[in-house]
This record gives sequence, structure tokens and C-alpha cells, in this order.
Amino acid sequence: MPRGGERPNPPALLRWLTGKGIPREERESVLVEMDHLWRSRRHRQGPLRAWFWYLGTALGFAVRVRGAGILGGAGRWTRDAVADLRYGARVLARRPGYAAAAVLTLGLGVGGLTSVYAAADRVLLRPVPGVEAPHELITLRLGSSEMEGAWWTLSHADLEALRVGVAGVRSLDARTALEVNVSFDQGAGARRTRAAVVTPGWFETLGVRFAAGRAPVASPDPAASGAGEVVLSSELARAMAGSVAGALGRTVEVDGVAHTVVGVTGPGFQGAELPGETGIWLGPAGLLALDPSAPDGLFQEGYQGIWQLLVARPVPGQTVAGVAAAAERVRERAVEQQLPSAAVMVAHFEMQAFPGVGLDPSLRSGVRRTVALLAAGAAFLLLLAGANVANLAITHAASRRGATSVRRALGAGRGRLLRQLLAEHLVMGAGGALAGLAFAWVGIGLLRDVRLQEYGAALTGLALDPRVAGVAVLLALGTSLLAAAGAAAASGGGNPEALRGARSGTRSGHRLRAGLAALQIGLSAVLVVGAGLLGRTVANLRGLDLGFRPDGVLAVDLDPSRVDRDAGEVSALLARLVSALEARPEVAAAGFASPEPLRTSFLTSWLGPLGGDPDDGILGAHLQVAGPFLEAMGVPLLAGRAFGEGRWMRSGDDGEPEVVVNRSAARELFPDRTPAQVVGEVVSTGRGDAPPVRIVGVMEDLALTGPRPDRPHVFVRPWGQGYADQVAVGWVRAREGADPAALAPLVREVVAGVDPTLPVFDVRTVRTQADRMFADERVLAGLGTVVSLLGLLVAAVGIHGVLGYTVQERRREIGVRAALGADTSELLGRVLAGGLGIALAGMLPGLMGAWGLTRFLESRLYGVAALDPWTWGVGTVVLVGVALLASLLPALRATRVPVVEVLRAEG
Amino acid sequence: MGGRDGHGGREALGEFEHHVLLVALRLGDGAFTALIVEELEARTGRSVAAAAVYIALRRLEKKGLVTSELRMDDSAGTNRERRFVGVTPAGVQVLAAARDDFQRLWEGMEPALDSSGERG
Repeated sequence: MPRGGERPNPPALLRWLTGKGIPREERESVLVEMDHLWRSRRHRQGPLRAWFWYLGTALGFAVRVRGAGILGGAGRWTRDAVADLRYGARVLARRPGYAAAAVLTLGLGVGGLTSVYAAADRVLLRPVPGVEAPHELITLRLGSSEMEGAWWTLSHADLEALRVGVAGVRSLDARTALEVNVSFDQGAGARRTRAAVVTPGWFETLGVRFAAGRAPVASPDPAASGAGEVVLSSELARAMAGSVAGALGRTVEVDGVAHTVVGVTGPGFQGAELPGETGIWLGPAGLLALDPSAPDGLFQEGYQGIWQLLVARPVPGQTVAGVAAAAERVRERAVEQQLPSAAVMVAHFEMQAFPGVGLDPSLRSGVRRTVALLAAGAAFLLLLAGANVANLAITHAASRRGATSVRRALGAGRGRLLRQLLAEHLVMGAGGALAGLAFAWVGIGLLRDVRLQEYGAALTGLALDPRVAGVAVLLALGTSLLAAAGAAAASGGGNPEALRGARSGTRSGHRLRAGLAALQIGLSAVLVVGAGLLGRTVANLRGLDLGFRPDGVLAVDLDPSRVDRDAGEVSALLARLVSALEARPEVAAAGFASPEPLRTSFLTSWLGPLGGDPDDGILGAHLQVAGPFLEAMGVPLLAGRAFGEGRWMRSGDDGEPEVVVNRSAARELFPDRTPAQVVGEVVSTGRGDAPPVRIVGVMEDLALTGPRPDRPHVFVRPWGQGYADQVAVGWVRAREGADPAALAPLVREVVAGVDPTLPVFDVRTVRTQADRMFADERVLAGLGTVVSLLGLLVAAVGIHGVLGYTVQERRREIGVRAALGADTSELLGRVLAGGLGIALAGMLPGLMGAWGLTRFLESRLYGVAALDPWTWGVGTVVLVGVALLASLLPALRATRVPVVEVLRAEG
Repeated sequence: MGGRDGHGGREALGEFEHHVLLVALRLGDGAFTALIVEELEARTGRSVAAAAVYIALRRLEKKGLVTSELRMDDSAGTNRERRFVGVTPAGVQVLAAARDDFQRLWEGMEPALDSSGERG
């Protein structure tokens, strides 16, 4: 796209529509102002927000310019509009049943789609708060060409090399995330918060404004950059000190290390990621201050991975692909010249770039797919509702043909009649919008507790804000007006000639209504099949063998690392905790692991044959354990042993390094051997001078990343040997049959008994955590079930309406048939056959459509084929059953047509 | 319709109109709706509806406090006509009178502000 001279303009369609809403003599001078504002908004907030702004402002102009009566005659327009709306309200009030049905279905459809929109807006559309033009930023990280979604840390040397080697970026800064305990006043009221260690230019690159103070001071030596300084978020400053001003300049203890608050970021900014939960930022020096075991050459050592994520602010014209290619060239050069670099350590490493900041790049496609499926489900429901409203409107319009024609004959203009129809549907749309807002409020409340793709607290702040409400209103009015258009077309605009045939519905009108009912059944067919497949998937996932036993276990997080505690003391503390926990009769087994075992991304390490080719080695999830953790997990050992009887405490110095690997890792390392034959083998860890490790046990494969076909290799090492995360995750297994959640107070009590200063946080059952691994599938199945039930209900109402109207229309015919000797079963059969005909007419294309759409669902299914005959069979039976049930009432009414009365009326 | 000036004296000025008029005066000859919207947003920190500004300007024009003129806007590079506004002497007078009113109303009130607590 050419840059510079060319000036972007708002989308032509939006502009044209806006122009239509504004009186001609004002049009050009309004549009020129709108263009101007749109451009500056687009520049500041991105195209999507600018679009929304334009839509809202255009509406505002149309309403206000007319309402203000700037031009002559506008007063009459307003008066007419008010009169029409009142007329519409009266028409609806006269038929409360009709109005309620229409408003309710509309509300359900609108509420569903609005809830999904709110979720999508939260995770995908909304720019990261507090970051300037976030869509222009580029996220860079070290990924793998073979393992999708996996990423590794870059060293400081890598960052410096990229800063030199990647052209077309104004700045390049780095971040690494951690969690810390923070407190003012020597530990009182300590709270746990997400923290980030960042390069000093981080805030400038993101364009973050400060509410007070400044960023940490940069120094040529990264080890001194921002030493002793922290920046707080406005939110954390307010929560801890009461106000922004009250926090600035104070001493804050971060994991027990004193720092000074030198800055407070502007409100809203809580990190470059979504959801933003970062409360405190430290300079690179913070890494050394917080981790006493960090090597001296942390920033000089080229292989020492530090930075998790880089963010670049490109110059205009630079693209994401351009940055990715330039960064990859830097990595390749390091490979060729054998430079010390963390980015060259594995053959399939590659530099990856992603547009914008916010949602974690590994989660983006998954979250997008889930949201798209949710949106599709909700859109189907709205479509169903729209068909239903149109159907009701047509029935209504047909029944008023007489009245309409009389009014036309009396001189009411065609335009006026159309306007009244529109006004009536605007009123209905407004009702639908209100109902939609109510349903959206409920739906958003339900979605708030949902975690998409383990996407943390992604939806916690979800709310029915004005923008989301605006979407609901637009959807309701739009659907209602479309239905009005359908009704207008079906009623033929009220031709006076229709007067003659006013009492009998037209054949084409009947066909249209039957067609709409069939459409509803068809849409329901798609929904029923989709929900059925997802429901079976969730049942399969819950029954899935994860390789460990998630039931009956409570998980807690502890942070035993403190500056004044060395590795040996941490081990001793964990040993005391394990024995104190296991001494309690309620506890079957307890152990600690690091890092968190159940998650999508791992701390990976490398194992390979001694003296062999590095390419023959394998990468696996690295897990460090203290106490009988594997026992607490319920992992079956296939051969050898784990690290019981205190073996986990031995560091590499006082014994041979040991590892337990899982089945798949054993097979990959020693292809032709049984697990028992692998035990006792010695393998290399590939870390230069690190001694080789002996495989002491082989365990079952574990589904640590959730229900995916490829289970990761897992290497379990004793706590004393290797690198543990700061947080120790404790798993406490309850005695058989006991409720693990009930262990929570006991665990707190035991921990407080061992060390009262040790906070216990994030208490949860492992079952909840395991279920969360397929949260997306559960949400989809849940929503699918609700939507398909509603769909069926709406379709049933539709069929019932059409048949009921037909029976009413054909009273005479039915009466004559009954008089001529047709018996009850024949009359019943006729009406039921009509219902069945509508259902079949809809089901055939519906099921075909479902067949076409299942391929979008295929990647989400587990243990059930997309064309599973059971699901499809049951779905078909349910659809036919619902159609017959819906036809039953009108059919019974047909059998009760009073023959004598009908014939006498005819006579 | 309200807004008719009953006592033959000064035009009554709503708060928003007051703001718009003041910003138009500040921007001088080259003032137009979009510019006024942006200036208002920048100075008050609140978002402002463009339509409201547009209408306020037309209303002020009716009251004789601003004049408007359709002119080619060369700066846009697209040669489109744009409605430029300027504050009339009557408009300046109304603003000056409003400021005097405020000043008189505020006389001796500073202590009341200080006692009402800290301001964010």
C-alpha cells in the first residue's frame, strides 16, 4: 500500500449510508468533518475502533441534525416519526401474544450473539489498554519450526544482536514475566502479583504514559539498569497505598528485597499482554536482585536465556514478515559464525514475529477458532429468531390485509404505510433489544467464569459496557427491520385489489411461511448435530486416561524462595512440609513439583545419547520434584524407581544425577528396548560441562497439555539437581474417597505450622485444573446444547404457527370433509403430514449443511467421528419428533372443527 | 421550543455551547467542527460527540454568536468545501460577560475548594 501522499478515507459504504441519514444541504459539510475525525481516530486507535466510532457518530448525526430542526420541515418529520412509533406500539399492544413471542425470540438471538461479541471484543478486538497504537507493534520470540506454539528464552546477547541486525524498527525491547510477593512496611499485608523484568526502553517502545514519576534508569551495564527501582501500575499503587501520589518514592519489598517506587504508570496499563495483570515492573538489575542463584555473567553469557518476549516499534513501511526475516537472518548468522547465542542451541529453532501485542501468539489461532465457532452458533440462533419474527410478521400482515387495503383505498400513501410497518418493527426491535440486553447480561455472567484455551483470567473483566450494548441494539433493530422488509414484500404493499380476496390467504404467502418454518428446522438440524458431536466429545474427554489420576488431589502454590534462603535450605523446608503433610491421617501422599505440571508451555530440557550426535537427542518437559510427587500424582511406574526416601534432596554433588523419563521418551532414546531395559542407562543432558544423568525409572505417558494426540516427553529430575522455578506446586492426595477440596484448611494449617511467613496461594483441585484443559470444548458443547434446544423450541413455534394458521384458513374445507365422512384419524393425518412435510423439506438441506459444516468442527472432536451414525440418527429422530409434537395441537384443533357451524356460516 | 431569549438582554448560553464558543475563539479563523472536537477532547480529556458540536455551532450561528462560511479547504488536499466558523463580536461579548459572571461568583471561594479533600 502506498504511504505518504495518499490519505485514507472511511469505507465508501459507511459514508454513503451516513450521507443518506443527513439532510442534503448539510450532507457535504458534515461528511468532510467526519472524514477528518475518522482519520485521526484511525491513526490513534486502529481501523476497527475507527469503524465503530464512525458508525456511532453517523447515527448520532442522523438523529441529532434532524431532531435539532436545523432545516425547515424537520419538525414535521419528527412529529410524523413520533406518531408512527406510537401507532406501532399500539398495534403490538393489541396483540400481546404475538409481540411477546417475537420480542422473546429476538432477545434470545441478540443476547447470545452479543455475549459472544463481548468475549471476542475482550480477547481479540480490544486494543491493549495504556499502549499507544498497539496494532502497529510487532512481537518477536524464539520459536521452533517443528513444535507449534513452543517458545524459548533469548539471551541478552541475542537481544543486542537483534537490535543491531534488524533494520526498520525504531526500538526493540524485551520482557520476562514472573510472580512476586510485594509489600510496603517490612512484609505487612504482602500480596502476590504478576511482575515483569523489562529493558528500560520498554515503556517508551509501548508508548506507555506515566501517571507519576518515570521509567527505571538505563545504564550501559544491564546488571545495573534500574537497580533498586520499580514501577507500579496505577491499579496496584491505589490498592496498596490508596493513591498514586502515596506510592511514589516509597520503599517496597519485592520478594523481601527493598526497592524504591520511581514511577506509576497511567491508569489501565497492566502489561503488554492480554489479560493484563502485571502490577510491578523492574529493570534488568531486578533479575539479579531477586534470584541469588543467578550466575554472575547472566547478561554477558551468550547462552543464558533471559528474555521471553521482544516487542519492536517498526518505522512506517516495515512489515511483520520483514522483521521476522531480518531476525531470522541474525539467528542464522550466529549459527554460521558459531556465536554464543541461546537462539542457536537447537536445530529447529527459528525467530518468529507476530503482529501487535496482547493475546499470546501461541493461543491466537486457537482462541480465534473457538470464538468463531461460538459466534457461528449464536449467529444461527439469531438467524432462527429472524426467520421466526419474519414468519410472525407475515402472518400478522396477512391477517391485516383487509385493514391495510381499506386504508390505502382511503388515500393513505404507500410510503406512509411502509413507514408505519417500519415503525412497528422498530418498536419490536427496541423490545427485542431490551430483552437481548437482559439475555446478554445473563450470557456474559456465564462466560465470565470461562477460560478459553487456558487463557487465564481472560474473560474475568467481561462486562456489558456501552459498546457491547450498542451492538445488541443494532443487532435487534437490524433483524427486526429485515423481518419488516420480508413482511412488506409478502403483504404486497396493501394493494386495494387485495380487498376482494382479503379473507383467504394467498398461496404464495403460505409458501413463504412454510418455507420459513422449514428454514428454522434446517438451522436447528445443524445446531442439533453440532451440539450432539460436541457433547459426546466432552464426555469422551472427561473419561480420558490422562496417565495420572487427577481425582482426589488438591494443588496449592508456594513460593519458598527467599534471598536469605539457599537451595539447600529450600529443600530442607520442602522436606519438613512433606513429612508434616504425610503425618496427617487425611493425607495419602504429598509432594512438590516445579514448574506447574499442567500447562500448555513447558520448561524444556534436552536428553541425548552419550557422545552421540546432538540431533539424535530429544526435547521434553522438564519437571523437578520434591517428596513422593509421582505417587501423589498417581503415575504408574513401568520400571525402576522414583526418588523416594529423600533421594530427591540429593544434589548432583553428593550422588549421581538421576532422571525418570516417560514411556515415549524411553522409546525415542532407545528404540528397541523395553522400559525395564532402559533403566540404568546413562544419557547426556547436552549442557556443556554438566555431568550425564542415569535413567532410574520409566513412567507412563502423561497428558500434561490436555487432550492432544501427541503427549510430550517428560523428564523428571530430583529437586536438588537442576533448575527449579521459584514457585513450588504442591499436590496433596486425599485418602481414597475423601473430598480433596476439604484438605485446603489442613494444608494451610500445616504450612503455617512449618513457616508462618510462607503464603499459600492459588488453591484448587487438580480435577478442576484438568477439566480446564478442555474448557473450550465444554463451553462449545454447553452453548451448542442451549442454542440447539432454543432453536428447536423456536422451530416448533414456527411449525405450530404455520399449521395453526392453515387450519384456521381451511376451516371450511375441513368442515366439508368432515361432513362428507372423513374420520378423525384422516383429518389428524392430513395436518400431521403437513407438519412432517415442512420438517422434511427443512431437514434435508439442513442435514446436508450440517455435513458441510462439520469439517470446521472436526479439529475439536475427540473420540467421535464427524459423521458418527449414532449422533446423526438420534438428531434426525429428535427433529422429526419435535416437528410432530408441534403439529399435534393444530391437528387436534382440526378434528374439533364444528361441522354444522362452519357449513351454516357458509350457507 | 425552548431557548428563546425572553428578557431581551444577553443570550442564554448552555455549558456545552459555552465550551464550543470558547474553543472556536481560541482556534481563530481556521476553526471547523472536527478541529473543535479534537481541541475540546484534548483540553477536557473527555470524548465529545461530533454531532453535538456541529449542532451547537449551528445553534450559535442562529443566535448570531458565530458566523459560518463555506470555503474550499486546501489543507485537506482533496479540494472539498468545508464550513469554517468565526466568533462574532456579539459572541465575544457573551463570553466576556460569562467570564465576569463566573469571576464574581467565585470571589472568596478558594477556601471552600481546599476543604473539599484531595483531587485526583
